[in-house]
Amino acid sequence: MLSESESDSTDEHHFEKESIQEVPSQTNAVEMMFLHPSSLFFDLLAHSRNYLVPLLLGLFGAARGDVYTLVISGVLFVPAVGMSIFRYVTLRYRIEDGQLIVDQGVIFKKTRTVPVAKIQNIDLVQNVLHRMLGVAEVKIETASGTEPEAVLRVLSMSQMEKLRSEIFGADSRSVGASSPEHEGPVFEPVLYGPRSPDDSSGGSADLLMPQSEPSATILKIPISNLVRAGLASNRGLLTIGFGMTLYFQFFEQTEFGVFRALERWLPNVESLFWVVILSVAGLLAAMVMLRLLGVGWFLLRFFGYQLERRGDDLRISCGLLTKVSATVPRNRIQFISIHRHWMMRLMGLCSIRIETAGGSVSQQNASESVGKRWFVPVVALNDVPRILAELRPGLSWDESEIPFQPLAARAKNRLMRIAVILSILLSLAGLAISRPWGILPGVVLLPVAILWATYHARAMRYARTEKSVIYQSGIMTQKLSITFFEKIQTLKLSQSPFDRRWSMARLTVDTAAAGPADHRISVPMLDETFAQEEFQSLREMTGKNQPVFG
Amino acid sequence: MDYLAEPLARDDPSDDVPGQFRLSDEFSSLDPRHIQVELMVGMITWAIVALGALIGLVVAWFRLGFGIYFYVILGSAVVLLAALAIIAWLWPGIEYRRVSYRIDEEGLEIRRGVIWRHSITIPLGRVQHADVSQGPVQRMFGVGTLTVHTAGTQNASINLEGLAYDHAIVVRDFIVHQRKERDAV
Repeated sequence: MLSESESDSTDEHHFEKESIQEVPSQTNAVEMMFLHPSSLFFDLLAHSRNYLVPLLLGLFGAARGDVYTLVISGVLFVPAVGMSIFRYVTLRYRIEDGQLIVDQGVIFKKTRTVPVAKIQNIDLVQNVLHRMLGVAEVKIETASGTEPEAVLRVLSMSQMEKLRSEIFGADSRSVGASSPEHEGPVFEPVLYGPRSPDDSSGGSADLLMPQSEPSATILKIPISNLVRAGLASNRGLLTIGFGMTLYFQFFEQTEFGVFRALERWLPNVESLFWVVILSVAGLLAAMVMLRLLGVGWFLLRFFGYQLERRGDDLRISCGLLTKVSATVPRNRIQFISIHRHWMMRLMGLCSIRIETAGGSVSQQNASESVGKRWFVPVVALNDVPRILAELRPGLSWDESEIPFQPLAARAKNRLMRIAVILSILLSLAGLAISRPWGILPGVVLLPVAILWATYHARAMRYARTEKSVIYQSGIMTQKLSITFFEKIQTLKLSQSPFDRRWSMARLTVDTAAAGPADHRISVPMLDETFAQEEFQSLREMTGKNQPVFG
Repeated sequence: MDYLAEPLARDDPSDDVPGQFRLSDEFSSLDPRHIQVELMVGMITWAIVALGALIGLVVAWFRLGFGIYFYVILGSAVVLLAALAIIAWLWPGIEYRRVSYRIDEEGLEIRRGVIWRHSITIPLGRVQHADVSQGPVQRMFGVGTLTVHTAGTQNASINLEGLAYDHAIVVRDFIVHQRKERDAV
């Protein structure tokens, strides 16, 4: 058991690493800790993608009484289980010399060392299974993000308690006091297990919260907005597609085949009228299903969503079955993107995504995607300035005041020319396939493409303010993204041969950990001279504003 | 007005005293030996392609004999190979003229591109680290590649091939030194 004096990094240590192998009667021995045994199960689940196919095969084989598929899937399944067991047995963690050390593997040993003094956040993810077993997935993050951090999947509540007390000092139950050996704020633990009857917070995931500063709730998303967002989204599409494929593959031919039943039941469907009616009905049913699935997904994912700010940390907690708590230090935000899908716009809503750097690069888990990709899944358009001000202190957001510059004057012409050429090509291709009606798609495309060209060119705008670069694009989903000079990593001015002919150029801004926001500040078809001047100005501004890590 | 089309080579780096490098607004070109490196790589690649074509021709001859189809294939193969050879011969020289770099107050700027042109700039404070490397052909001619790493995503690593090896090391050290000076604590 780790004694108190060991957690004090200023203490002299009378042992080297070799003493770990010594007989446990040594009082200075550092305890090597394993993850909770149920980690095996969760690890298996996490890696389930690897053996999903054999597993499904096995299941369907079993349903049909087919021995061979069962055997094959079993054979494919065994190594996956073996790997999980291996991973579990070879992972040990310990706290030694003021470092949290996580060892993984035997032959290819991977050691992760996280200095305890730098640990600032401990994020937790708990889904229903986790809660039933009294465990949680723990993610340990450091402040500056330049040190590595660790994910421990899974730890039991008591293990977590032990870890927390070792990291944040034994006296952590006192609010506001700071332990001498620890520089950071003191954390008061708020553990959570199976939902208790007096849990009035609506099930929001409580976590280890620093008490040194008061927290301010920035946003709570009501269920109505989640429903609206779900209706506007396409989340259901993937599920439906996958489900339909499975269904047609395995069930259609059996007694459960719905379409066969329909065939038998309906009158002779030879009249065009009935075909049309039925297809329309089917389409409508599919669309309704899609929307309902979307709503369901949003509710599951973001139920009880709460965004709050404690000092410089933004905290999100949400989730119905899987509780996620994510922490985003404000200074890590590299890129903010406001997405306004046309359906959401009609309802006066939008979503805000961010990109952060300095966190984990590898594992995409639930808290990651909530913290970044789905930062604020749905919010009223009017609320955006207020929220942006919380994300970035000092940012007063007024869209009407942004000095937007349009693209080059002839950008619309260029797009139109592309549209016309594409339509002609399509018509020719259609003609080659079947005449004379093959020309139809191309002819139909022409006005659509011209319309698209007109609006698309107008929809792209660029602006540079005192502290930031802003770019807006998109018609169906309007995306407006902002990044700040100290977050810009590189700048690129580029010209394709077509650009040269049209006297245009493209300006691209590169930031760290780009991607999750689904939008890049890459401004095409800017006027050549303007782009060159901007390039120089941005060079200057970027050089003047150095990144500050906190 | 054509920023990206400006020809380069105002400052020949191989004249610099080794160990010295200074901030300059002027663009420098690569080491001329880089052309030879590219030529050699081009020749080797062409040889491999020609060998593949030869094998293909032999196979075609087996199946078609000396018929008209074979001659058509032979003819087109010869034309293609000749075209490739000409390109491989001329391209390094053309490209050499269109690559340049400079390090000024605002950062490292690299311009390149013959048909598709671009200019990338990295503020000196954003450099994470920089390496110098040498491929086998480069080693023969004494040139190297400077790789600058940033925290960016698309341009996480930016390569500048064709600097004189010693000069590349000088530049690398200079960049790292400049970055340390600008590092905000």
